[in-house]
Amino acid sequence: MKDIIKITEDIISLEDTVNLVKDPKAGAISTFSGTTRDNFEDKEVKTLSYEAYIPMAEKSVQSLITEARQKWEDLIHIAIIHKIGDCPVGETSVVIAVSSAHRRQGLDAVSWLIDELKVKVPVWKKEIYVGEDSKTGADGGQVWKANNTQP
Amino acid sequence: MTQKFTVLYFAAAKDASKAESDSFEWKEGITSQVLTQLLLDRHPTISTVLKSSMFAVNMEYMDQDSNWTVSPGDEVAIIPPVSGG
Repeated sequence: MKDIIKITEDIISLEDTVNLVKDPKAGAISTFSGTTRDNFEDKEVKTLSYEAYIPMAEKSVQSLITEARQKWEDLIHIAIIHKIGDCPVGETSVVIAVSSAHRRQGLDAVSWLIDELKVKVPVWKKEIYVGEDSKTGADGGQVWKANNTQP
Repeated sequence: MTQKFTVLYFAAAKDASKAESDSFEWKEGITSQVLTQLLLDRHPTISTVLKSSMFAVNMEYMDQDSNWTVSPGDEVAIIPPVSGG
């Protein structure tokens, strides 16, 4: 059983991540892929970037995986990859892939893992907005986002 | 030789302090309240972000209500509300 954890500046490939968790004993590979939106309320997002406390992020993702393995015994390999640095609109920011003997536990584990990741893992997203003034080309400000709850 | 501990700033805390990390002199009895005051003395601009942040010590979140103190050599991180995913 492999645990694959990466916090990376590289572009994330869903297909490559799925390949990492393939296994002859797996009857299912369940995935979640998060991508960056182009809007927040009425503002247009020009670009986004992610920052992480990398060693703690890796450690807290490992704790989530360990907890998931206790909750669902059917899981085989688990890969969680999060992008940091610039992440243009529409690009993949996070991928979770879980192989399991049967689909139900894999699907449940993926859903739980992304919910927990968004609350607990020390990663931050900054949105930089398109400015109103097209002449100066000044951007429309930037905001560090916050997910809904704290750990 | 004086003993130290490290503070790391991330995201909004980094912007507000204009620092990625600091070294502080360690002393007995640095609770979260004492730590907050030390941070405000050094970086008055982080007051707002500090209110919504958590502390992590050696990469573990600290319970706001429990009694903990900083130890020499600790790595303390200021964790603003997270937004991964």
